Amino acid sequence: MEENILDNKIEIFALGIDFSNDFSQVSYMGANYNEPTSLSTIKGDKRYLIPTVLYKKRQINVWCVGDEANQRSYDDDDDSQTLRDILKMEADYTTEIEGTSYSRSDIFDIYFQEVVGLARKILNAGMIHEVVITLAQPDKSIIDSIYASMCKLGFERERIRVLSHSEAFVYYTLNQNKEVWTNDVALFDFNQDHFIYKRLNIIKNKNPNIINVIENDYSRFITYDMLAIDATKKKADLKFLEIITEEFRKHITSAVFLTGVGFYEDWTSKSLKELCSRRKVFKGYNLFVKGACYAAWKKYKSAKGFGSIFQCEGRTRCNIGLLIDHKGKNIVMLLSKAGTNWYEAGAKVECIVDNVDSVQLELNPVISNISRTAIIGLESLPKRPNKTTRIQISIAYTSCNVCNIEIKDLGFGEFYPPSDVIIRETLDIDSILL
Amino acid sequence: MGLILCEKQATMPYTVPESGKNIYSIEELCYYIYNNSYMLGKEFFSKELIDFVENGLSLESLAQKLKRGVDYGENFTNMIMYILDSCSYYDEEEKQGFVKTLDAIGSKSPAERIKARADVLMANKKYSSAVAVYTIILDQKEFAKQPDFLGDIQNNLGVAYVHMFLYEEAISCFKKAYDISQKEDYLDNMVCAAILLDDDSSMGEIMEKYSLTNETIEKYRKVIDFQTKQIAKSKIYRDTVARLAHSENTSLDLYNERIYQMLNEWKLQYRNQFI
Repeated sequence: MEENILDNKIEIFALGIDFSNDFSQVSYMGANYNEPTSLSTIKGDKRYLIPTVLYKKRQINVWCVGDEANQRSYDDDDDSQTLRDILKMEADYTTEIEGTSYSRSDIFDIYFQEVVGLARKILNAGMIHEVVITLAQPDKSIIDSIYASMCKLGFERERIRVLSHSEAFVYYTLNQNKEVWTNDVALFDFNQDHFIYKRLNIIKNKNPNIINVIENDYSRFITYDMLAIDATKKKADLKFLEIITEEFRKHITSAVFLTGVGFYEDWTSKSLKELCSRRKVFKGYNLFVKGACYAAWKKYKSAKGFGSIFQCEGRTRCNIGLLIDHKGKNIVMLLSKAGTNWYEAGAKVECIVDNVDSVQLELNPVISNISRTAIIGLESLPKRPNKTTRIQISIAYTSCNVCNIEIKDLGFGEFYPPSDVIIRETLDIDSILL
Repeated sequence: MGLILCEKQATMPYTVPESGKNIYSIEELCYYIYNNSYMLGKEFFSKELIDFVENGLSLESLAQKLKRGVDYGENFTNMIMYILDSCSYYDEEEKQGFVKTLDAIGSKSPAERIKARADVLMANKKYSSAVAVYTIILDQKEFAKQPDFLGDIQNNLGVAYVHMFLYEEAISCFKKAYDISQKEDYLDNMVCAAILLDDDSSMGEIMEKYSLTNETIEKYRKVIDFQTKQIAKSKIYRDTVARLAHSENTSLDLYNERIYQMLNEWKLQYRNQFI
């Protein structure tokens, strides 16, 4: 395979990182790659899972990650130098190791430095063009921290993306043969923290099509601990069978993916038999990381989208439009499109206020298509002659369901200087669309 | 009616020479044109304006139209409408109304239009430029039979001179205004200018010519005293006095620098009176 080699280093066009609380993974694509390749931490071996564990070597400012971190921690027989459950740390988390305090953002910096450094070393990588990090449920503070950490490693902000596991699932699935996603596609994600079922289906009677992922959390019913003894293993198997029967009764499913360390164990004798009946079943652990890599590759190639709207965790649920006056008629100007990654779904626009005392936003969910209007009053703006107030309207999501609107008074040039007035409103999209 | 979507704002503004106003957007340009129609003439469509439209506002198509219009001597109203039509700031009804205003201005005599321009210059503190324009009007022979118009011009000219602290010239203009048209305002202005000049012979002359008593003059003085005291209480006055004061705690270098800065500000204000 011919690779792009500059200065003896290999050029990586797309890098995917699955950042999960128990294990992380890396996959990559370079020149002439048709699909992502998972990174093994030992060359020639198949050690793809990197425990999400950091270990600080004693008395020197050197860290290690993964199996090496676990081994050193085990040798120490204490966890004083070890950091685990990194994704469960709150934004204001701090800890102290050998008298030095580490915040969560410090820990993220170290983690990404180690993981990306490991990938660079193993691949002998030079330039890495696009990076996509995927995690189960990215919230704003985690995404902000990830961007900050990656920027510190020299990546430009535009070259970084953070996706949810649902989004990575979509990217992975749609890059498989079409027969895989002819009908619904199911995924069971089972690890030490959760047992989650996702179902992808394509709603074809809409234009454009909608790629919809729904999610059910069955973590209360099946836990990783249950696999420790036979009795509870059997219970888990029966419960899984129950879930399969119920979920698949209502939907024609062409493919099922089983991912996560929970499926490494042998406990699914009854359920697997039912699952494999008339369906393709795939077991693996690198679906999300490969999905992330596909997303990075698509971005690198500046490829067009799938021509469909994503509706899943991590994506916005509705179009947000602004009612404006255009040549004497009221029209809705699209500010934010449904199906956009919420972190990237912000918009800014400037308008002149002409004899109105409010801003009207139209929320249009793609599935139901029933619009709702959000009205934000402009009474607190300074009183000026008509058409001499310019406002900046910004929308920014803080999750896929919550959108902050900010309306700033810009005055009107030197005729009317701006005031300090900023009007803020938070839209709970789910509540509005109910 | 509603929210009008804005075009891009320029980083560097265009400064309208007649008024010194900085314009940052096509909406502000439309607003300026709409509200200062008397100020505008063909010279408004300068190279600097067209350059601003093209490079500052990135409105290449409009800039091309204006360039062609200048090159081929396009009708003034058409040129104005190119600008107003380039964005949605004014609706059709407003634009049609404005065309009528432009036609009305066009139907006014050149001197009337020039007077309107001079009045706007005054309003924008361009006193020296206003003086020049008023003087041009006074040279026009057509107003010999329009005493009210002439009186206004002379009065306004006098007011411009007062703002420039040229009280003798101001008094001369107020006298001419009052002689043409006996309006109370012209007399008031004349007496106040004479008080500010603080010259006994000048005041004596006015009192004799216009039969003004000492008591009458005293009333004017009281008004000026009161206004002077009001000015002394204003923030701008107090700030200026504070800047001019030198305390022992301030180094001489710092004080000199402050004074130098003030002088520069005053020089700039003075220069800004000219187009």
